[in-house]
Amino acid sequence: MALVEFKNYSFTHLGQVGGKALSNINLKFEEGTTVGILGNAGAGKSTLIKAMGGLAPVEVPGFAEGEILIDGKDSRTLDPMSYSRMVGVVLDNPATQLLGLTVLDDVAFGPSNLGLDVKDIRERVDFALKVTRLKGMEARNPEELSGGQQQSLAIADILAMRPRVLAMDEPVSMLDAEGKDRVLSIIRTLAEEKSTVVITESGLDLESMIKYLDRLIVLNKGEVFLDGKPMDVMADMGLDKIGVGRTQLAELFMKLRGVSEIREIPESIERAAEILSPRISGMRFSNNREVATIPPPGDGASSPAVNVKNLQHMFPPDVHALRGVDVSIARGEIVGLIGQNGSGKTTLCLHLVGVLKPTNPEASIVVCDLNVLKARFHDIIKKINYVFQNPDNQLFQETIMHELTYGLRLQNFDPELIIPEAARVSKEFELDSYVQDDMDALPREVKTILAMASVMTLKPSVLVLDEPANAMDRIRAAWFIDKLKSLNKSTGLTVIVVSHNMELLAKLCTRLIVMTDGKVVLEGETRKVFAQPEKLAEAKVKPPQITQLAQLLSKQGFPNDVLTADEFFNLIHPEVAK
Amino acid sequence: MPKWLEYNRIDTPVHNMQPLVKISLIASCLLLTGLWWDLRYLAILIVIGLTLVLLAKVPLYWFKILGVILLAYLPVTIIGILGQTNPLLFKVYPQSLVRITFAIVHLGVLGSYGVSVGGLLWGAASELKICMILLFTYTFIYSTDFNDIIGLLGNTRFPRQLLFVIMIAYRFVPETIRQIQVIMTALRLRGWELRSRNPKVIVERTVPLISSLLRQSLVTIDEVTLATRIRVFSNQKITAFNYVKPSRLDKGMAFLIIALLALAIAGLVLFNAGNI
Repeated sequence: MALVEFKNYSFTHLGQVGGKALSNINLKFEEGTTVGILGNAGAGKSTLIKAMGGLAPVEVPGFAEGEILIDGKDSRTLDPMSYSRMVGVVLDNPATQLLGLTVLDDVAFGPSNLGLDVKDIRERVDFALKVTRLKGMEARNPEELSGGQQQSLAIADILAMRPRVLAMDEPVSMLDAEGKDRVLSIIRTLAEEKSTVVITESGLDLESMIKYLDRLIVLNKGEVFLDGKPMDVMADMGLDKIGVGRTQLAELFMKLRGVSEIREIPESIERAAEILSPRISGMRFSNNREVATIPPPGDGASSPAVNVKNLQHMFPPDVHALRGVDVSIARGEIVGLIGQNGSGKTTLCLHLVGVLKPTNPEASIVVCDLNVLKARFHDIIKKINYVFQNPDNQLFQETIMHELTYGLRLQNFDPELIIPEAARVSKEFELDSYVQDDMDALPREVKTILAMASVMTLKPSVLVLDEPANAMDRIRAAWFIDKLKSLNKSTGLTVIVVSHNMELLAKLCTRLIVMTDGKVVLEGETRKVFAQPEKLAEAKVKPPQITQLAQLLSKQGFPNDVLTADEFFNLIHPEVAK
Repeated sequence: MPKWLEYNRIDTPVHNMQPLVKISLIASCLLLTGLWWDLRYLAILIVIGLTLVLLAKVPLYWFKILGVILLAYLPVTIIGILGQTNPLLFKVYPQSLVRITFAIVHLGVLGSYGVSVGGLLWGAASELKICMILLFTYTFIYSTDFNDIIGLLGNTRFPRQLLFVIMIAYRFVPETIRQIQVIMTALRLRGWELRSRNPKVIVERTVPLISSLLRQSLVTIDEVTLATRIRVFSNQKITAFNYVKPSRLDKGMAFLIIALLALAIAGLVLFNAGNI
């Protein structure tokens, strides 16, 4: 008997118009399996997890039809206490799930509510902390933990309740590389121990997760679109129809299927290297791949877009966030800023827009010939502006048009031109179909685009984007990359992108700047930076999956700086096809 | 990094003090700060306050705001000083001293106003009290883990549900302060400024700030509600976990401090000790 079974289950959110969040779902989740739920934004993944955890329609208002059986029992007959012993849900934002003031109290909170005796609670807490590698951190304040540790703690909180099914909603989407590794290692442990785990994923982190999955379900517009073994699902041509992206490995091997006898879609880089290694031995590889031309900063006809010299910043009492940063970015460049959380990326960007001031008098920051350290804020924002990671921080109005006109009104823009200008920007960023929608009803990825569009109404020459693709699925991320590139081409906009998403950066940026511990440790053309895995490892950064595969094969003369599946395929397909 | 008005876990005698003893000591000092006006008595409290601040290693930058507070309170103090020209208001300070007047204006039924030594001594105490409130409050915030307070209350018959609400509020207050700072930065990046001489304009300008904060607070409330529901927080039987009971010595120390406080209050009521 399945542990969880959806029978003709549908769910409509309160006030939802145009379709259902989940429609006629028939799924069984067996004991001891790790199941991935894949789908674009709005596909119904989070709703499925909440329905499974008994939160919808109790805490998430809406109308449910059909039934969910938990261990054979109708979920509607289960009280919260019994439910918690069956299904535990980890939500996507760890920060709001951590309720205790220490790690120990936080993990003990759930078991205490179950009314267990202190000895039992202690045992459960120990177990959960051990699995999530948080032992030794019991006395720490959850707020002080890194993103990865916080997500591990959110998982520990639920593990301590000992549910038979652990359901996680995009558990790594908000984490940096180190945090992702941490959470993925927990998922690996749970998979090895044959726990029952359900994980949703929008696609951007699929490649790091797929090897732990026994089964992959693809949702599309609230319906089950595909269901099967992960690599079979990856090989299904139907994915192209709905626009759910594959892993870079799956993308490459799907192409190779068409020209060779290779049929397997490998789930790991190591397995991919095993398959390709005998086929590429003795091959000679062309080195004429496209390399971005980087305009020399300030060396050409115009001065650099951004010129930072000896920038230091110390937060009281003695935290050196920046330790003498020198950065120069040419006009029209698209530059990626990478590094672990706390490496100084955001602090550097906040200096560029004048929000933070250096703590050393020798520092200099010049943006498009404007001395940021002496300029008025009103003048700075016309030269450079910033899009925050959380779009909700940057949206202040009730509708899209109000939001787009807000900055223009504050800048005393000609009143007759405000509406036409906002309409132009709305059209340019494809926001017209949402114009009537209430701000709260907008999907998060639309909010991110709106935040960017609102800033772009001020026509800055330099735009800083902090983790712009965090809430985006692959389709939206691809659209976003194209949009930035076209803006860059048509207006000469200089773009600085802070991100942990290496695939996005590989496709978007001409140059990368790597930061660690408040210093720039590596910079250069994207391809050349990703070709230095040892140096990147020092900054705890990994190149894209396809580049990692190329680097595994580099002993056989394969170029170690390949950035996309297409490039990889073009290098090997004439030979492999033989 | 110790942030402004946030607890910092470091190893100092004040941080390590049993919370019951610490609460008794600081609450007693704060109460006496409110009751005493005599500069000689307040000097004792200042010595205690400064000792605690130094022992707890409270960051000096926390006190940057002191000047602003003292300045903001100065008009109230000045009005107080000007209104205390009548030497009979003073029962403890020598009359020969408080009678010395530098300037005085008689406004008929509105009374007499001016600058006297008595008024200045009162004014000095008034501004000093602000410094002392800051000394004790900062020491308490910087050195006291909220868990300790929760633990203490949890050890009593304090309702656990209410305790949880306090805990959640404490957990999210610093978060909300940070949130406000981020939203204000985002607003400034759109050309917004809060400063204006016109109060109506200021009110209008806070609307987008409040609107954004409200939107995010609602999301947070929703998520916290879900998180508590997932972890079955309800009115059912709950096990009290990890609550540390104070030892006999701690209880004895706390009792001693409260006894001294009672003595000080009795001295004030019966013998004007601490009054001016």
